[in-house]
Amino acid sequence: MRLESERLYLRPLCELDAPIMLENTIDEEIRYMTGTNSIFSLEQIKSHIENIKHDSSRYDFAICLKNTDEMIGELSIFDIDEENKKAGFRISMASISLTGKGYGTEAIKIILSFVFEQLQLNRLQLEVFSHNLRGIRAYEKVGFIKEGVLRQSFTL
Amino acid sequence: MEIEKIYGDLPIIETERLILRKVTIEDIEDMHLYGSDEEVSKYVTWNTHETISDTKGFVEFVLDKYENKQVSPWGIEYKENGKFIGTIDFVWWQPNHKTAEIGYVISKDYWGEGLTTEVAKDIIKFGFEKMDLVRIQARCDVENIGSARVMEKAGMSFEGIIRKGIFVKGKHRDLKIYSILKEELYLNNT
Repeated sequence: MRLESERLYLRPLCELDAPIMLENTIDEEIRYMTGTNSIFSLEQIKSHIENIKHDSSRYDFAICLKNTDEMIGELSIFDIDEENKKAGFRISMASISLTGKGYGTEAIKIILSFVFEQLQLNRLQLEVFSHNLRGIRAYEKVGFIKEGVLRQSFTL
Repeated sequence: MEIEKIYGDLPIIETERLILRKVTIEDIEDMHLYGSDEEVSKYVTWNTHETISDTKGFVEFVLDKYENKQVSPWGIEYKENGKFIGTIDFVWWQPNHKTAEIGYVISKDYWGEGLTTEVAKDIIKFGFEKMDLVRIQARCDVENIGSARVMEKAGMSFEGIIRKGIFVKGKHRDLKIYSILKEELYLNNT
């Protein structure tokens, strides 16, 4: 499966993406923004990618640049709930230097049409840390509405 | 495992007018009285019990949870007449984040007397003191005014509305979410 926009395309995450994902889990700022508490090994990330491939409750995509095929981030639609017609969403760019160029926004727009038109879901939800201002701005820009604040709901 | 330590043998909790204890086979009849009441089940995720075997099925589900030492519901017994009038429970618990959610149901005959608030307060206290939680949340249909009132009276704060968060009984429904933090417990109870 390949989903496209002007500058980007999304393709299923694969084992070759593991080293980039490992780097993300080491970057202190990305760890803080994504709420990563644990330390992962390359093997763990590889087996995670392998496991989610067979999980029908989710889609995991690599975000790639059309020009260079460089993988610049990844995102997931997870907890797909057919009964309630909703799913969860998360996205992570591969480095802070890639933010601020509108890539995240562009990728989310692809996902919104995938979720609402192809998957025919009714609601897409996400949780973002209150300290992730850049993330919040991007989500609001593409149309996510803030519903509330889950106070002290995560230990980081 | 923390969950097994507490739920391996569900503790009995006594409030002023109520006793919280394990649900038993003997409660099926009383439970069916409210489980089959459409007004009681109007805003909850489960379907109105059609027959006594629906109720029996739920009780067996609960007994299985006791058996497997999982997070499980308390039955609510009204001291004055010994009737089984509802259940209250932690519907999930994440020990790593010290967070959990509560849910409850009570027979219509006992609405409007502050009984649910009475048990909710004690369960919240139990959560903070025995389960070492920092946050307890609860959700209800936006139209379920009675349940939202219980959350408010139990000291919980409104956090937001999960728009069309659930599809039940033919409709995408909005849910209110409330929570109380450990640091707020004693502010609210004094």
